Amino acid sequence: MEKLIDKYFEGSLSILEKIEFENLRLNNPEFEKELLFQENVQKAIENNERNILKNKLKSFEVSKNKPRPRRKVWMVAASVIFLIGLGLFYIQNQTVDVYSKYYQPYPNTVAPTVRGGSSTGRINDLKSQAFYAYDNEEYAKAVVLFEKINKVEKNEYANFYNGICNMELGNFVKASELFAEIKSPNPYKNYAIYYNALCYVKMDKNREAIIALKKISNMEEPLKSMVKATLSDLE
Amino acid sequence: MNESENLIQQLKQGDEKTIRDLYMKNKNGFLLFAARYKLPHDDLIDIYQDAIMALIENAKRGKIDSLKSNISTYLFGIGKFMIFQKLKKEKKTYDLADFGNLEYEDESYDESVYNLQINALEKAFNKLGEKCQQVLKLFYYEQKSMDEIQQELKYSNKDVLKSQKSRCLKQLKDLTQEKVN
Repeated sequence: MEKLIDKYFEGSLSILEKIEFENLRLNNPEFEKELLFQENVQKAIENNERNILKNKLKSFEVSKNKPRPRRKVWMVAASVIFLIGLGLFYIQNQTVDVYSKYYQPYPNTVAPTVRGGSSTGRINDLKSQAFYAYDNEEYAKAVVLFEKINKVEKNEYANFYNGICNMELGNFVKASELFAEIKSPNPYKNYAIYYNALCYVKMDKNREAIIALKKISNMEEPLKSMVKATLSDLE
Repeated sequence: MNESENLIQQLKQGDEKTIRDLYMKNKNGFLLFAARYKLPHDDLIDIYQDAIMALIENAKRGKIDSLKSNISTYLFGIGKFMIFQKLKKEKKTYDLADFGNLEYEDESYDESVYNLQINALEKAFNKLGEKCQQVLKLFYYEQKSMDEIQQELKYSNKDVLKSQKSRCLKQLKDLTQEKVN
């Protein structure tokens, strides 16, 4: 009996054995029960394996939505070049307004707008709505959406982008609070400190700004150059 | 060993980097290919993931050892079949001619089957020792023959392996029996 069932799963029953197998399946309840049990074992293991694999594949999608360091660096590098250009313009005009010289909204690296989004998946939807608003400079709308996201899901980006929105809206105290809430490990931590320093500048707290900037003066490029330039203008 | 044989070998071992690379490499191509079926983006991602899973499963079961087409083509074939099933299930209109010659068909890979015993067995399986899980997984999931398993796990003879497998099944029975009582 055991041998026949093994062969059945191996797919190695001979023609004669197949006849015997079918005969037993139909006429021997014990045999049928054992076969059914093993088929369920097979199904259970299959479900297990598929769940594990499916979760792994899903995680590829999630981690893909996190900012990719290389692209981030590239984007920030582009903004640094822009800022340097802006800086030169201001130096020529003999004005040193540190905030407007260095401030620029952080690029959306989380959910670049894709055409033909879907209507399923609530959080995904909120997220794309939020970044859609952010990309369209509808910051008040984006603030509401980022707050909603925080209520339904643990995430790393909402406070950071919410902070930027508040800066755009001129709410520097609120922005500063949001940046302060970002604790490591968080990929935005160092940039949050940088933007927080710019908030301090706006609040006429240059001393705090300098202290904050010194904390991140030795971080990766292009942040390092940004911090260095900002510090030298402040001091 | 050529590139695609090498890839299949890595998939059999469940190598995470290989799976990830395969997933990333083919995703955009698949989405472009699937765009004309007008399914929601999330559904397409779901189908794409199921197609990758079926591909890996078939690799593990030795079903694509002598694959003629390249892996991407095979993967898209699975995906196309799954899209076809999805459209049928949702009673959406589709052009039958488009699905006239599916290169890949596998009715068995549908929604996971559930019933009480399967559900209890899933939990019980995770309580088994490593050795039992390994033997049962090779036999029932990867669908290897007892001879192949004996070689792979270096059992001195087939009877030792057979009684090991029986013991493991007995454990599963006991564990699921407790559940019922």
